[in-house]
Formats: sequence, structure tokens, C-alpha cells
Amino acid sequence: MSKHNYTVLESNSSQEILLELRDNNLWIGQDDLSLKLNWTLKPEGLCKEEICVPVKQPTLLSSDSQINLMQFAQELNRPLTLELNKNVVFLGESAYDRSVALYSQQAPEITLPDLDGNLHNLSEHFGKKLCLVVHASW
Amino acid sequence: MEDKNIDDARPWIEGANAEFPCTIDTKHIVSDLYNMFNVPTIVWIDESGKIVRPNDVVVMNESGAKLVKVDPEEYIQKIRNWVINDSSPVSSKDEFIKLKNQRTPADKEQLARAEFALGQWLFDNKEISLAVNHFERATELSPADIMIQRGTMSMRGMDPMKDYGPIAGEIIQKGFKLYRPIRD
Repeated sequence: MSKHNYTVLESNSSQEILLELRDNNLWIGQDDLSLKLNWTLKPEGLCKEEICVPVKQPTLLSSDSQINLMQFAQELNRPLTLELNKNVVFLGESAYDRSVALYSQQAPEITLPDLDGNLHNLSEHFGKKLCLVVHASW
Repeated sequence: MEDKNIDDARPWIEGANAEFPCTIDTKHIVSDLYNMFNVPTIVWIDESGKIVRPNDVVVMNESGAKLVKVDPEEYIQKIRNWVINDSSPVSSKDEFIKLKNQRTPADKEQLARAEFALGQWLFDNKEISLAVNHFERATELSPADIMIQRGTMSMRGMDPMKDYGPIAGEIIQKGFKLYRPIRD
């Protein structure tokens, strides 16, 4: 049993969360799952705001008041990558969620800095026709 | 510009001296959000924020243009027609469906992006060899994701300009296309 602070990364966030590594699984406290990752385990399933996803393998998902982070990711079909040598985890977005967002045809919001560090939102420019061009130095 | 750090992007943005905002995406958020696999990728968005023409890859130089089979001058003219004359962003229903079908990422592709993102964090925190492990894993999971393949080359000790040729060749030999998502 070893509880340590892990850096838990998502698409545009980084948080320090106390996790426990037990039998090659990472466990997160139920409270932290709600407060820090915005998902709560309820009788209806795993819930975020108004959405609830029924749990397929409840016995694998929770134990006492802890949630198995790998199982959590699997339940939501989210990719999870980890580097245990550095206590860091990346929790990505599922292919399904990305697809649904794109099929809605509403351009997902982008907030990024310019060379001076000023943040720009894509939505600031709605109201005229736009070309979003993504390039790279390579 | 989607680059590993601002310094890589800086000379290009300054050189362009554009009138429109140029931003830098060092966490590879946009390619994940919009399911992009290579650069340059262009998305047309109408006044209401709706994507009316999804991911196109358009290359300005002659050899690149032959590879992607898009004439850049014609493409720019299409944009002008759309903006000035409100012409349709797609020439046919078939073309729209084909473009629309490019949008769906697969589970493996999202996992590759998660490996890429973790690797980037490790690289940013000076854990180079650990980062490289994750970059290699990402390229195995999604061999035709050039954002990952070419985007990580400078972090894996390779030159993305000089050393790209053989890698591109290998990808094509495996049956993947360099400038289109996996599914047509």
C-alpha cells in the first residue's frame, strides 16, 4: 500500500491528486474523483453534470470509498497512459466523445496564447467566416 | 502552430507577420480536438461557429501539392468564392460525406494521442528517455499520425526535415496515406 501525490494530466489541465498504487492498480478517493475529475459514482452509474454512464463492471470499479482509476477510464472508454517512475498519469478524451463533438458540427472552442502570451478564443471570431489553419515548424 | 515549444514556432509566426491571430499549441490540444493527423490542416467555419468544411490538408509547394492532390491556387480561390460570393464550401454531397467521414478518431488513435501528451509532459520536465518511450509507443499505435511521427522527431534526436524521408517511405509502404486520416 503506498499513497503518493500523482500529477494527473488531462487535455488542458494538470492536478496533484493523492493516489494509491495497490496490486498494479491506481486508486483514487471517491471525493477526489468528484472534486478533482468532476465524475461521481452514483447508483445510476458514473455521472458528470447531467450525464450518467451505467457501470459495466461495478465490482472492479469501486472498493470501500475508492475508485480504480484504470477501471474508471475503461468504463468511459478514455485512454489512460502512465509513467509510474515519475508518478504521472494522462487521462485523455475518448474517441466517442471527440466524434460526437465533431459530428455536432459546432467547432470546438480553442483557447491558446500568442507569442506575447495573450490568450485568444476561437469563439471571439464567430460572426464572420473563418479558416482555422493548423501548421507546425516541421 | 502546433509545436513542442514557442521558440520553434516564433520565427515562422514573426516571418508571416499576419493580420490574423497566430497562437501556439504546445500541448497538442487542437489536433486532438479536431482529429488532425498532419499539417497544414485547414477547417472552414461559418459565421455561427459551424464547421462547414472539415479537415483539408493543402500544401503550397509543388511536390507536396502532387502528393495531396490538391492544387493550392484552386483551393485559395475556393476560399475566396466562399467568403466573397457565399459559394458552397463543398462541391458535392459526396465530397461532404467523404470529408465528414474523415472526422471520426479511433480508440487506438486517441490512445496514441494520450501517449504523445504524456511524452510531451515528460520531455518538458526534462525526462527525455522516458518521454521517448512514450513517443515510440504513440507512433506504434498510430503509425500514420504525422502530428506525432514528425512532431516528435526533434525530441527523439532526429531532424524532422532531413530524416523524414525514410520514415515517410515506411509509412506509405505499410499502406497508410500521409495526408489523410486512416479511413477514406
